Amino acid sequence: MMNTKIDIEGLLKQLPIEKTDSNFTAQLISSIASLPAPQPKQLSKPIIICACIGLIGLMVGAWLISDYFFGWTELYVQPLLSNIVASFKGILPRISQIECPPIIIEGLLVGAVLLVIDAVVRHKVVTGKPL
Amino acid sequence: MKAQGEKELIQQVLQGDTSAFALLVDAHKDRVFNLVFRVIRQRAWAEELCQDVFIKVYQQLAQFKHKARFSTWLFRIAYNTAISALRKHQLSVHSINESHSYVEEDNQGEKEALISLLEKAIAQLSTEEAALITLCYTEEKTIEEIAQITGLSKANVKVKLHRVRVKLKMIIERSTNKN
Repeated sequence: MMNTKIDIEGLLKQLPIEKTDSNFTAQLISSIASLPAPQPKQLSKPIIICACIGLIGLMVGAWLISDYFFGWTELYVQPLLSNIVASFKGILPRISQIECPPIIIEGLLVGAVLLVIDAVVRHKVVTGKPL
Repeated sequence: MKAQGEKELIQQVLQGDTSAFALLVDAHKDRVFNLVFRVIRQRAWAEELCQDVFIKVYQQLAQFKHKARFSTWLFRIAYNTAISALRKHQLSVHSINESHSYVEEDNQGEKEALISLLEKAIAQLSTEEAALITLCYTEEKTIEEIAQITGLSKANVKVKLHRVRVKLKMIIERSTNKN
């Protein structure tokens, strides 16, 4: 018996399919009936807030580190702000008296970025829509 | 079931129609059960897991983006559920083999006897190997789909399928030589 060459692929294709109980679907539907209808997964508010705080931290960190190495503030931001301040000289002479140390400029910039991000996050969390 | 019909049924389920889900279940339950049973090898447990699979499918249906075929997505959930259940219970595959529908070889045709031997041989395979064989030959899934379901690479699926075929052939030949 069975001395002929075995066609394993042919046999595999003929494997019988195991079947479920006849009342399988009825049981399943009765257990599903108590479940809420499937809803798309939404990110929870704490996750969004944590992600934003992380993002803000990363941005601030990246800014401070790159500023330490490349001096972005001194190179670009300070002159830009000085120009803006200078443009006000004619209108508001008293502004020209203000001496702006770099740390204040950095603080203002970081503060402005944080305010914008905070506004975006609040808008997203409250309305669920992007700006 | 055609992909378009399936898509419409899925939309109906998402709108809260459980009878549409019953149709989806009816279309796929035996194939899912067959896969889970080949991995688990215990009828009662496989039935229970199959129920879990369809409950997961129902709960996650909104996440199905129609990037793959519905059956591929369903089989992936079924395969992962079966493998996780096995790992959780830390049962050895060989300790839970259940003699289910194996029929005696006496008074049978040669082909039936060979299929019976093949089923016994499949029961000796690892869970992954049994799943690969079921997906490839019973479900007639493509290599790409099997790779998606099992999380293996396409090359790995091909190699493993070849090895499993050789292994099955060896087991069957050993059994027939004994007889």
